[in-house]
Amino acid sequence: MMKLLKIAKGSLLNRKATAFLTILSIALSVTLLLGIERVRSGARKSFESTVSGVDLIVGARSGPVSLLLYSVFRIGNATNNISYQSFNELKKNELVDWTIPISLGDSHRGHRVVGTNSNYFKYYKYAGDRKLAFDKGRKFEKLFDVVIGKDVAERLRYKVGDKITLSHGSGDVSFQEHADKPFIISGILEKTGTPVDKSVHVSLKAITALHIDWLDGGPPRVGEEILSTKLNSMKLEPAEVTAFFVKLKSNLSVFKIQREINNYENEALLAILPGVTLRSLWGTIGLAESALFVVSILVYIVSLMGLIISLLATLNERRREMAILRSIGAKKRFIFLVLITETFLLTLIGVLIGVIILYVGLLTFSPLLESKMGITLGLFTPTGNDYFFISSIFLGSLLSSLIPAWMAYRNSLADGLIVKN
Amino acid sequence: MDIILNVENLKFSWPDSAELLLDIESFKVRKGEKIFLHGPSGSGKSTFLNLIAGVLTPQSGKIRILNKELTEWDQQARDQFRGDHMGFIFQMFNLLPYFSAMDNVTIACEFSKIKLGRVLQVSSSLNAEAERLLQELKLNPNILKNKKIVQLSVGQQQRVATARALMGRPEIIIADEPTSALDANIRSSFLKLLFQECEKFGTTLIFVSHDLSLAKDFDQKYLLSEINKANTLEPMEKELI
Ligand SMILES: Nc1ncnc2c1ncn2[C@@H]1O[C@H](COP(=O)(O)OP(=O)(O)OP(=O)(O)O)[C@@H](O)[C@H]1O
Ligand SMILES: [Mg+2]
Repeated sequence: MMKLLKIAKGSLLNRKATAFLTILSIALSVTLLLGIERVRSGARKSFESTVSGVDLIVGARSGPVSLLLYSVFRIGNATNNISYQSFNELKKNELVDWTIPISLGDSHRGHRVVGTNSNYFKYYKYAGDRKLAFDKGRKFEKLFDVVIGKDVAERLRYKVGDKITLSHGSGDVSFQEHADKPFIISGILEKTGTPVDKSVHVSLKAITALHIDWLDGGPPRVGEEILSTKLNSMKLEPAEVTAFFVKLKSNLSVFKIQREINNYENEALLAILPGVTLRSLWGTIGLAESALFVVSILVYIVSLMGLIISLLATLNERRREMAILRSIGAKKRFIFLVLITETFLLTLIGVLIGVIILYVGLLTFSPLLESKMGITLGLFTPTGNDYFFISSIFLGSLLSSLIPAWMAYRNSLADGLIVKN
Repeated sequence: MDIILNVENLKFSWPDSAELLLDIESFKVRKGEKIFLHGPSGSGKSTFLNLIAGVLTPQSGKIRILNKELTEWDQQARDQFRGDHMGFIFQMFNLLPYFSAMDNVTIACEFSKIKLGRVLQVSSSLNAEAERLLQELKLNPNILKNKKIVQLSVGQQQRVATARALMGRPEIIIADEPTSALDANIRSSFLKLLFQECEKFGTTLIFVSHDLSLAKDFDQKYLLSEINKANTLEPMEKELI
């Protein structure tokens, strides 16, 4: 079979330009197919690792997806809050290990303000087992301390000790400033690649303090503001929280507690299993991902067509070559195999170059993607899916090479040793 | 002398034509003979060579080469037989453009263990034998090495093709108008070299050409239409004879 390889190689080298372009188009479609697969799984992984180690998320009764969106992704708003009383009651349930309350509604220059307690820094986990850590400073201790995410710090060029004011409402353009009660940045969190990076964290007490002098959802009337200095000595018991995360002592009781919460009589509550809801949410986002996938399949089909065309285009001028091979004893089958082998070589080189491009691409772009979007791609370590794609690519090009191979065979059969041109 | 090729009652027509192209009652070639076959264009000379080569199968009749009844063999066996016992030279473009001249010569042995064995009996390697043959055909292997096939003159190409045909000393050389692309003075020297090589090992030569002026040095001379009972030639073509 050495002669087969030798002939196929020679003939490919004889038309370097087309061979090169064909290889390039295969390589690009391989890069695209595998690359999209990588981005897809990377995006999915970082999506699913936004929050971990939480058994239940509890909020006012609404859709599970919207609860997940506002509590974890900080997208959209809660229609209702839940009473602090209900939260306290559930917190005291003996099956509950810990809770993290979340109180939303304010913002700082487009960044969501999250009212919470120190459990947030103690228990919040993402990407499997990673805990929040401080890049600089410490958690909030004084009433008007604020802890900001890394993106907030970078975007607004804040450092520990800076004074900031929060605004009421969560729109990018805020309506009313809590200008009378400035906060001091006590800490900046390390980069997590999750919405935490874009959040501004204060204590629940601070949230209460911000709104204590507000009446009927409006800012305090002039002269009726309660001064920050006075607030420090007041007892600030929050009336409401927006949602809370629950960790149970044993996850065997998850469904029991979930049922209890969903049937809670004092208030209409909803408890969701974050993993389940994340997956169903991804199902929706997955449409875009499928579209990308379809595009990369189409690119591959186009490159297959290019492959066939490049081989078909040469068949006529190669009739004499085939007649020569036949005259020195090549069997008809050999003519067929020459074309199959050429396709195989083109595909093989194409796939190799494609993988190399992907590898280099990941090496250069994955740090960028990680820092900008929190998507961790990692290096190219082929997964089962990749092997499936690569073998499909080989299968596809071998199948499509049957067309030119068959035509060459037919030509050669008709020509025998006489080629008239 | 031995009969190396014996054609009996051969009838052949192309699948897409109703008329018989060839109907040859008997055609015999003895070992070592140099045969000249001529006839007008379209009379079926190349078709006849294809039948002898075993690429085409006649509708009826027998083709016996080296005492083997080729018409009873299957296609693959005939392909192998062709590779083992025959060498071909065509009118032009005889060479694989992507191989060196040397590779174009040695490739004959890649399809035949018999040719390979014969080469290794007399030479140390395929390349050594190819170089020897090229030299005998008045080509300088060292100059050829640095040239692409397309850079060779037609005369040089035909001699490289001849070296390939001679490689492994096949019993029969079949040449289909090998000289018609050459100019007159090269033509005779080419023929002389070809004869010289064939005579050296008693190789049988079946040579097809339009050019009757070449016929004088051959042992036998045939006009295809004389041995072919089927006469499909157009009236105009008949006048040309
Ligand atoms: N592959 C083919 N399929 C069908 N018919 C063919 C084929 N090759 C040749 N023929 C027909 O067979 C007849 C003889 O052709 P052939 O090539 O054998 O003639 P020739 O004597 O070699 O002519 P020339 O001197 O021009 O080479 C012609 O009528 C031609 O049309
Ligand atoms: Mg002819």
